[in-house]
Amino acid sequence: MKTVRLLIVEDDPELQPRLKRIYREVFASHGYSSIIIETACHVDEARDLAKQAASHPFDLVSLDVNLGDAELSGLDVLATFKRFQSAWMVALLTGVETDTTLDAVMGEEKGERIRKQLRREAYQKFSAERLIVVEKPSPSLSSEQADALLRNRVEQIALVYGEVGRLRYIFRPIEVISLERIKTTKELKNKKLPKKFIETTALHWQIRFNCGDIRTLPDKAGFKTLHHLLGLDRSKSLRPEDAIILEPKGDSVIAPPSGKAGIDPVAEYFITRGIPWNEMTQIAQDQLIQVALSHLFKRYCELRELEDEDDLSPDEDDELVKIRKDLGPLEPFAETGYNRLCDNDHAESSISHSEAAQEGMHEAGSGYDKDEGRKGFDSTDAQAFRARMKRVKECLRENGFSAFADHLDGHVSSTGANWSYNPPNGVEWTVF
Amino acid sequence: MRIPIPESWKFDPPHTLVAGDGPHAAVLAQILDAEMMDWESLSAGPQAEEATRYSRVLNDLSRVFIVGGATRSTADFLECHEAIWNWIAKLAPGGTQHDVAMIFVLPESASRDCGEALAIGLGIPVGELVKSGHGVVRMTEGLGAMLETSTRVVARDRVRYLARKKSDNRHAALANLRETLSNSEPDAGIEAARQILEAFADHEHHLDLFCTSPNHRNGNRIRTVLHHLVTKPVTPMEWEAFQHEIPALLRSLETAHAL
Repeated sequence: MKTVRLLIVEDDPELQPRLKRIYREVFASHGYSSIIIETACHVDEARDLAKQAASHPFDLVSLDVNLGDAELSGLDVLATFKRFQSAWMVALLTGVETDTTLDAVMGEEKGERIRKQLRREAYQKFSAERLIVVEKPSPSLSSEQADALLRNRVEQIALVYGEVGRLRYIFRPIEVISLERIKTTKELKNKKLPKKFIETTALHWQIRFNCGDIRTLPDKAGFKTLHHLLGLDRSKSLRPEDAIILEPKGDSVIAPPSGKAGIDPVAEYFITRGIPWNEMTQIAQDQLIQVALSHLFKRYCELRELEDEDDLSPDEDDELVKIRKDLGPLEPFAETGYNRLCDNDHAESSISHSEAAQEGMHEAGSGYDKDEGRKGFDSTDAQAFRARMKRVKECLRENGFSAFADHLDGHVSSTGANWSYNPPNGVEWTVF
Repeated sequence: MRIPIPESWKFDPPHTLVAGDGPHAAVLAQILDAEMMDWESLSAGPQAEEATRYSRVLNDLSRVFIVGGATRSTADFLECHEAIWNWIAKLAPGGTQHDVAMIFVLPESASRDCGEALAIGLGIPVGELVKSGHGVVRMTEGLGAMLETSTRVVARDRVRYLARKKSDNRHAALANLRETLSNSEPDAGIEAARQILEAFADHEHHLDLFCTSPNHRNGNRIRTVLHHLVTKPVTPMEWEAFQHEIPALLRSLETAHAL
């Protein structure tokens, strides 16, 4: 079911109901079965709605420039929509485009300059690819002609909305002031709630494209990725109270016991990092080894080679110590593991090239020169996604959420064209 | 020196802020369970936590009480008001578009026309103060009246307020003088000075509200300079001196141009 939520900001009491009717008819003819239309007729009313819609943005806002306010105009309303990120797309209706008196009074050149100035200001105040400036019917037209012109313009808006909307899978603002983690049920019972905060910038937009790439603006801490991965309600913004993470009750999945006798060193490596290794399928385990260890093994082998040749710089020496510490019980297996992973890369493995590419096992353009975004080639967006995930995880680790970061490591994977998060049974994310 | 953002704000973002010091402000903060900050700290501005990044801890802020003692002038109140907006612009996700109600709590000693003077300084007609996000109340009126005023005030953002300022003839005249000082010949400056004197006709003492501290002394000086510009011939040397002196006497006038 195609739905659209519209806001019409128009101060003309005659034009507003006509616009409402035309928008409804045109969008219905474009296959939208649920059309919710809200209206505002003053600058302040529109700005208030824009602020209130920060967590539930309008799909389309039809905005008149001249709202009969001596101090503020539709452009100021536009700035509010941008600031609170409460509109996916805006259609700016301006009478300046068709106002012939402007040319008569000010001259054609000056009139044109004013029109350009208006457009320039509008594009400065809102994202250009999601803003369409259309002309309002001239007051000199008869009501039939004006209606026909309006219908034509709304058709144009609906077409652009459809095109732009095709890129949109998820697009919502996420407000993250901090994430709060409650460590264990025991601590909950004792009411000792350790407060650990990760501060981020205020608002982010999260866009998930149909191709599976996720893009967020501004791209700083990247917590939008978490928001997506946690599968929170799309209509809600991620607020601190939304992001309380409850670790599994009963048997711990995230932090299983370590150092069990007879345990496989690879399994032990992952289990001590909070990955539920034993619950994963063989394919998932292989993927995890590939993703988590290939780089580490490779670097270890390179540094070991240099060490054998007594050619290690102090920095490299430090790096090797760090890698050794990180590898722990896996160190004796690093060289053989690396060779095996190299072999797997060349031979047909259980993982297809497309999956491998999506998982980031191949660097962009490293010999897999097939269609971009399809097989064996990392699109720039996929690379950006991985980089962002890396930053998120680093940030989480720096702030004491290492178990959570490891958990994401283990359970975020690609499923063909999409990224997915598949937590094991027992892991619970609560949304209040 | 800028002031670090109080740690307590990060854990418990404030809904109400009392700007001021002294026992009255302290009691008010306690009764309202509000955060309190003295005027000097507010004037210093918040310290960025990382380069230019700030914690957005004022998202919930909806009311600010500006409490001043007997030593505070109306111009001081206006300066504090500007300083608070500086904090909100940096620490609220909505920035200058964050809605907040500002209530000026005047001391007993404040003159009778202090409310009117505040309205002039803000560039808002007295009758529109409440609906533009501002309230004025005296300490002597008691807590009940103060809270009643605060509930009547409609929280508004800075955009509307700056747009008002822009269309206010006093602010416009002063902004015009600033502009002519920086890039014009004496004739334009003389015209701008004439506009200011017209805008403040019969109420020239209100120029104090737009001057830096000490407001009254600087107000006297600017009145002298403006009258000189309008009534006497101005030599190029004098003009050059005024170009440097006048901006130092005037408080910065943020208007909608700055948005």
